[in-house]
Amino acid sequence: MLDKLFKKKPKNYSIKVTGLNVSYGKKKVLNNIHFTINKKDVFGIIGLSGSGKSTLLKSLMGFINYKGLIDKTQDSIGYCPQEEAFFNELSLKENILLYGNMNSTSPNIALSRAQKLMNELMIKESLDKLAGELSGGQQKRLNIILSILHDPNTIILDEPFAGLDYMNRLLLWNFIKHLKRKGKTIVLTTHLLNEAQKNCNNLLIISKGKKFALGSISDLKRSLKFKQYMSIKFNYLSKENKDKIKTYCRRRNYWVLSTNERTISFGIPDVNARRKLLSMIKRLDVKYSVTEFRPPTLNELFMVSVK
Amino acid sequence: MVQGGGTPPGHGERKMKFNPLHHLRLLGMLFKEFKLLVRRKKTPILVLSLPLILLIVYSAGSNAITNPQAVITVGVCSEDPQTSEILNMMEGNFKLTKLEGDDCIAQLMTGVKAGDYIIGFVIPSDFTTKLNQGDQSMITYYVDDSNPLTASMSGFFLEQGFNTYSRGVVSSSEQELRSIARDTRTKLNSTILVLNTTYSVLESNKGLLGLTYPIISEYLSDSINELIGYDDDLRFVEGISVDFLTKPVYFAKGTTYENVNSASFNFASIFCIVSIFSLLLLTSTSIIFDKKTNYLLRIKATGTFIPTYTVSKIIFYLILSLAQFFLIMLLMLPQGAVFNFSFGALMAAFAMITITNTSIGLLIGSLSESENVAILFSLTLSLPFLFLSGAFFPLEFMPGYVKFFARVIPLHSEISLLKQASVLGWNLEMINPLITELGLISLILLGINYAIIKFKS
Repeated sequence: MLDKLFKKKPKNYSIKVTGLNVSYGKKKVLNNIHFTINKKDVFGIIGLSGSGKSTLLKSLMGFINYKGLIDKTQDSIGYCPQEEAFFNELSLKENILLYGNMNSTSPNIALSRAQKLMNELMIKESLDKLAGELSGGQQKRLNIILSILHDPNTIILDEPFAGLDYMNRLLLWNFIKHLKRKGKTIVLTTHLLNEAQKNCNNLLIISKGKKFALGSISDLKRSLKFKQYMSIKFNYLSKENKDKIKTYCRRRNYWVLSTNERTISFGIPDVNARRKLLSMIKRLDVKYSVTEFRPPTLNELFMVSVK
Repeated sequence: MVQGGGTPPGHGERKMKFNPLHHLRLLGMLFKEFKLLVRRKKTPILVLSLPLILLIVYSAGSNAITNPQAVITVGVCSEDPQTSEILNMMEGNFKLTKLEGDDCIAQLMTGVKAGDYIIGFVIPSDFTTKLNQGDQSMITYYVDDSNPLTASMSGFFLEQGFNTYSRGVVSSSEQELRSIARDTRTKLNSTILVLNTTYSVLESNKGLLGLTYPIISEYLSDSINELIGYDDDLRFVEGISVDFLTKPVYFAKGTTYENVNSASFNFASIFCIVSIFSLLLLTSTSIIFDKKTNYLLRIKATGTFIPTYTVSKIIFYLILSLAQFFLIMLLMLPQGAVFNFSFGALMAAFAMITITNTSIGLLIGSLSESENVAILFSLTLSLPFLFLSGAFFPLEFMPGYVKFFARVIPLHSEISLLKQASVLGWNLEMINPLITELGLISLILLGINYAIIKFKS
């Protein structure tokens, strides 16, 4: 009975962030961010450059001062910085032993884990080779290996795909899936929306330091005010008419996602809105054709977030 | 054929021939250098402050060599009661303290060693008597030999201080000699006159010699006495030594520390200077390297305690410095250096010096964003440190504000500590005050360094 009373209920999340605020001087970089990363999730953080992604990761790692609460249930976290963090003048083995030691991993275990990880990430080089002699893609992968030598439960990867070609990205996504299968929680930042959409369970979109959207792809799409994407091509559209369409959309809270000379893309809530919008355009007496009408992609969600 | 870089901006569509020596290339590169210099604010500040600081220290130091810029404290043991004239004459240039008692010389030595007196000297009981006899008199002086440069300058300044008195002695001796010569000549002339008169009287009164004998005898007797007097005067002149005429007061340097020489003490200065130069440069640039290779980020990411990182640096540089320490010690032996130490105290002093210098270097590295800034920063600190170490300029004769800075900088305490531990044979308990002082400095520096690495790097 007492056991039950005092036994803590196991938390099913890996990281829970509540009311996170970060400022650099007077500039507010992160503003009241809340989110939860569940165990065994592949959690993607998406945002434009300067939106606060790296600052968010630094806060999670405790590298910078922040206000708010970050609850990490798993002690063992592996952090892989965006830039290579190893010594080019040391061999692979020496780097492995160094970072193994820094993670309190015995040399033998560190070496055997590294060998295994190198096989999984296709680094087929001698351990005596200098790290600086590896190719760019191999160095990126070595960077990840050195971050997870201690077999952490949560792995935080800052822009792991930056500067990688398609083959290397594919290799890395497969590795991330493999880690997930092993029960690891992965947190990563990326600009690759389509790949993130395909591979992440949950996404956090931050824009200008604020949380714009959070959840699975379907959650994100559900949570948005527009559920449909529509693209209309005009034969000719005067500036006056374009302004009229924009004003109409603004009044009804429809999103004008993009405009160019002859095409306008809209984010609208439903089929009914489509009908209303098209009848308004008809009244303008312009020739047009609907080129696309479908649920929005992550790219379109992201475009809304940065507007 | 037109290739990239051949078309200067502002020339519109006009295409120019490819010219690898085009002046715009050079201008562009210079523009970049100056822009970066202005953006990296620390670089121009350091570039300008280094010569400024060096100039201040150098001019204060070079002035101190020719003319003391501070009051020279002097302790005196006078066993001669007639020396008030000398001491009064010195009052203007020196701050004199007259010591008395049977243990006067012991007090003097203690005061010199403790730094209460820059110079201590002893005037012997026969000082003025000897001078009055035309003999050279000797003054024994004591200086702190642990500071070879100040010690040699002190002897020089002491002799300078006595110059007026010595000139006075020589001048009065010269007047005395002239007066003796003048008197002797006058007396000789009158004696010659007397003898000539006597001779004439004898010649003209050859027959009456019997009657005049008493008178002649008296004349001759007086003349003989006068001639004996001239002989005495001439004996005095004969007795005057060349040494007395050229240098009436001779200065003999007393031994403050037994069985050691300046090479022994120079070892401390040389090691501390080498240590501060090499450690500031090596440690500061190693921190920059660690920042650039994201090693510091890994340290934080792996949850490694930042002091562990600092301790690893300190241990590494302790080992590196130990090699330097023994090498310099070995190289000083042929110079005649004699070491007298307790091993524990020597190692404690060495470790404290290395830890202090490593702490300064770590802080410089944490505050610098590039190797250039770290190197400039290290030089801006270590070069003035070098001039203020006492190895190049006599600190004791520098102006008060320079002396204050010299006392504040750790290098001064480091040199004193190593002298105590390596030459004077002080034990751990005796070197404890300086160990504590340097320990506190290191702790403060490491604390600041910790905060910078934790929150800024």
